[in-house]
Amino acid sequence: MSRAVGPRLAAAALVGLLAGAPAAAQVTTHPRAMGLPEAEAPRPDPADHRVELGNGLVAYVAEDRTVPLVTLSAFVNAGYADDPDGAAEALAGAYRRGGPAGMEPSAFHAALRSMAAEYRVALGPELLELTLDVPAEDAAAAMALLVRMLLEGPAVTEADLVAVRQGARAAHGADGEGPRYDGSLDDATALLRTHLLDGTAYAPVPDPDAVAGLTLADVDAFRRRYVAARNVTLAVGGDLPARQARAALGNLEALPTGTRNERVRDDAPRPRDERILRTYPADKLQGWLVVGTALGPVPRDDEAALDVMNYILGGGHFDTRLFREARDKRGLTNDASGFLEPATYGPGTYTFRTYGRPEVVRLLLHLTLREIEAMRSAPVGEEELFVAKGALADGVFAIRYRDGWATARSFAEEHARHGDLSWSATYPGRVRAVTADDVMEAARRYLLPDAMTGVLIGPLDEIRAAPSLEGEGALADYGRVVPGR
Amino acid sequence: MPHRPSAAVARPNVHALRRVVAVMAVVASTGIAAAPAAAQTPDYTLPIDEHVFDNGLRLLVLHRPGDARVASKIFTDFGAIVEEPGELGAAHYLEHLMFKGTPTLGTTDWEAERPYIEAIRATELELEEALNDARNAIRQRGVWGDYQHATSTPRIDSLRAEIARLDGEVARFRDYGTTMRWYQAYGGTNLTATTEQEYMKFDINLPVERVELFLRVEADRMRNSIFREFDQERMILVEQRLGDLNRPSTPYYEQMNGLVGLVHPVFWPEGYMTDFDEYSRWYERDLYERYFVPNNTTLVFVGGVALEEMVPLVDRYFGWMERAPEPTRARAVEPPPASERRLTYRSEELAPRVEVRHMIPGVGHADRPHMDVAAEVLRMQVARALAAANIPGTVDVNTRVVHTSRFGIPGSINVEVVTPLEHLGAAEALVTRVVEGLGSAPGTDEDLALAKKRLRTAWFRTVRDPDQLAFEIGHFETMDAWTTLVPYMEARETTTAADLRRLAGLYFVPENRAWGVVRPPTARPVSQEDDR
Repeated sequence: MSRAVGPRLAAAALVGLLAGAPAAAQVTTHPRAMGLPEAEAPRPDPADHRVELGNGLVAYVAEDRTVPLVTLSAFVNAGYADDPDGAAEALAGAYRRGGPAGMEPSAFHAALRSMAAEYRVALGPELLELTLDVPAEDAAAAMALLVRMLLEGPAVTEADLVAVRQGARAAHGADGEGPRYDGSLDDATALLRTHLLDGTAYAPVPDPDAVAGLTLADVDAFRRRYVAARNVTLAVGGDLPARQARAALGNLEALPTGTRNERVRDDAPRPRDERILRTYPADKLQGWLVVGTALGPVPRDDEAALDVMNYILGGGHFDTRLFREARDKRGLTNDASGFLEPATYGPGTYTFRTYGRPEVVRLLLHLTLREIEAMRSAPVGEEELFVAKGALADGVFAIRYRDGWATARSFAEEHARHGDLSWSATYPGRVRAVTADDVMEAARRYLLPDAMTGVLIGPLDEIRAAPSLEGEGALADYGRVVPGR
Repeated sequence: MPHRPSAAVARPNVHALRRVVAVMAVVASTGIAAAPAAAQTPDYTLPIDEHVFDNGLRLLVLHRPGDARVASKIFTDFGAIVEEPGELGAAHYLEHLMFKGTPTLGTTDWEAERPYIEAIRATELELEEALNDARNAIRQRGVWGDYQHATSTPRIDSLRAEIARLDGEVARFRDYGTTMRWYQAYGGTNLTATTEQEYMKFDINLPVERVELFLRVEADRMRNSIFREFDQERMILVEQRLGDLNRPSTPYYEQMNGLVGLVHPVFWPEGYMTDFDEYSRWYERDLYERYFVPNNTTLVFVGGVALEEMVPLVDRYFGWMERAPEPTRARAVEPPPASERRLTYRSEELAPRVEVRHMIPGVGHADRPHMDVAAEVLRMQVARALAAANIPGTVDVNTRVVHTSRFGIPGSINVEVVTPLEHLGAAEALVTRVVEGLGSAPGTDEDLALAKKRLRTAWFRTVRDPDQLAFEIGHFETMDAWTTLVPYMEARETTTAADLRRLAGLYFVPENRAWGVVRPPTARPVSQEDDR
């Protein structure tokens, strides 16, 4: 073990001696009275990291030599919403299954194994991401692989098309068995997202009829259209000298210039005029409940207030209104949280997720809707506002730039998604400017309890038969109940 | 107050870690320098600084100059292995209770609330006495939990009702969520807490300028926790347990853990439903007061703070605490294994599988690092053997017991093959052959090289993340000593085929073997071993 000793420990020892004086009393100053200083602005200057090739491809390079690892990510500004017929899914599936078109899949995976690589292909409605995380010793080989994957594309086969068709049929229950699901929060959420976005290009699973006609030529056309220099942004982070990284990127000069995928913003489907509760039986020990609405693209002027509002109501942490009511005060559930998931150019979702033993599920539904209504009807408190703004600006936002890897990745993803970095340049300031009135306005605009759809998976008979604990009603009292199966 | 040295994102090279083996031919045109041809020993150095205060509190700091944030953790050398039968999960439950605030965080009027808290304590002692008085009425008699003279008595009911009433009074003064709220307000992320067999920890990642908040909250939590919402939180454990039981694999893995070890609580589950009913404030308070003392506590910081900055700050918040009697350690000693054991688990929901477990040494034993390498090699060789034998299925090799993969006490190495029912017998024979022949198979040297690379790369991914690295430093301190972390990682680089053969001959022997077979209830036995 080699440890840093010398002046540092000597100084510590001196401090230790001084600390040997009689122990002071316990310090329990309230955190707000501690005089904690402002945190430094976390976002580095993007110009220090930006590289642009002659063909218009932009990359963000951040050298970070903490450990001998290198992470390479390519963000393609296109997702499944750009081809509702399933071409994006087939392309992503082919990338997962194999590597570049000119390489046998077995050789590709052998190469990944030999590099001890982590390889990830993620497809969202508006973005396709390819990421390779490798030891620095393999950076050259990994970069060569990534370049080939972008230049050649993957070898898409009929099997990839079949997989997309089968996935679509299973998710939609097109085989006559109804949609497949398990007892879990993830499956309840997936079912709800399908219901909310069905009929739009942003539906998470393509329509079985639409993908029935998908061809290899369609997938190839999709790739040629979108995997182009002006529509791809790279991130290179890690133990790779920036000069070498920039030189390696030169191989992507061969990528056709193409054009950026400029989309017209689509709004969300029109809100329903009733609340619907879709029920799915499952022989489990708990019930899983997700309620929510579709959500159109959020204008930047509204975004910060909406984020603050969601943070206070249920923003996925331990001190939200939903968490306090459902978990802290009553012990009903391990979690009750809100998930704000808008898309940039089309409809996304805003959902509230919880689960619990059968006898508390109806109360969880009751409390969720009650807290949503309360958020719309009264302004938030000063302390709530203080906490949420600090958490979003100094926490959630700041960790996007916590090290070189995160910095390169955050800049590249933002550039791919928006075409520039103005979002991150202004976000902390917009958050800090939010007022209680802004929050209530956001709640009234974006929280639509009377138009929500719910999905409930669980032991439905037990849930229905449970006695009322706090005056909560039957399921039908919270919306039109539609059996899902 | 720690200052943040100005620096760009690119930081000084704290760990000049270098490559070992070139695996792929480098494409010359990438512009990236080719890897050196000669292998070098990777440098695992971690510049950890230590200071131990007079009261025994240990402070460990890994300074990364220029980091804007700091991963901050407080570890207590305490966990599920000190629980008593009938109270399993009490350590985990204590962690939940330590989120319920203190006299200065979590109440709107402590002076008004305090009499009710004291009344609850007194009433609970009466309840304990009443439970003892009624022991013959309420003890388990039936094998299936189906027979008791009674489940309660009027006095027990009355005392429980009184505690519930007093809890309602306490709620009038409650300010919920405050142990988390201020972390969040000041930019804290990765707020978690974990209790496993050998440790409890609380974590937060803060802007470096605000690390003092961690000390303020954690010193208070460590010595002044008030166990509010006791029964509500008990139900959260029930919810977590139900979540586990919704996975059909949970009861099977719990049975397998119990098959490996005879006496050591490391193999016990996190608590049964019947345990949750038994938790009491006085029992939790006893654990809290015995173990949450400075001489049983380690603070770990990884990020933009230096030791000399942290010593006076830590002293300000923890220096007033007095050294306490050393807490009782779990004294269980697992006897040497003496027989091959076998479990047949019948399930409609769980996919058929065959699994073999062998007990292995804990961290601090010279053989333990080599077991990590053995697990990687076994994964490769079992998968290859299955493919060669045309046996479909997936292979998992791990060292997990409940949720944790390393202990300072014996654990197990687990080789599991999920395969269709008709292949179970063949898979079992194949696993036996690979495990017993470990180190002797053709290609072992290549497998060893790749196994080490995988482990090394996974370790660097851990080091890259300050939160994960801080966890490993604290975890090693509770399992053994933080100073053994780097030697442990270095030892894995030295494993040879001869070491694997020695491990196989010493540990992968029939008398140290526990088999698990999962198959549907109606299926006929598929091997001679299956229903033995």
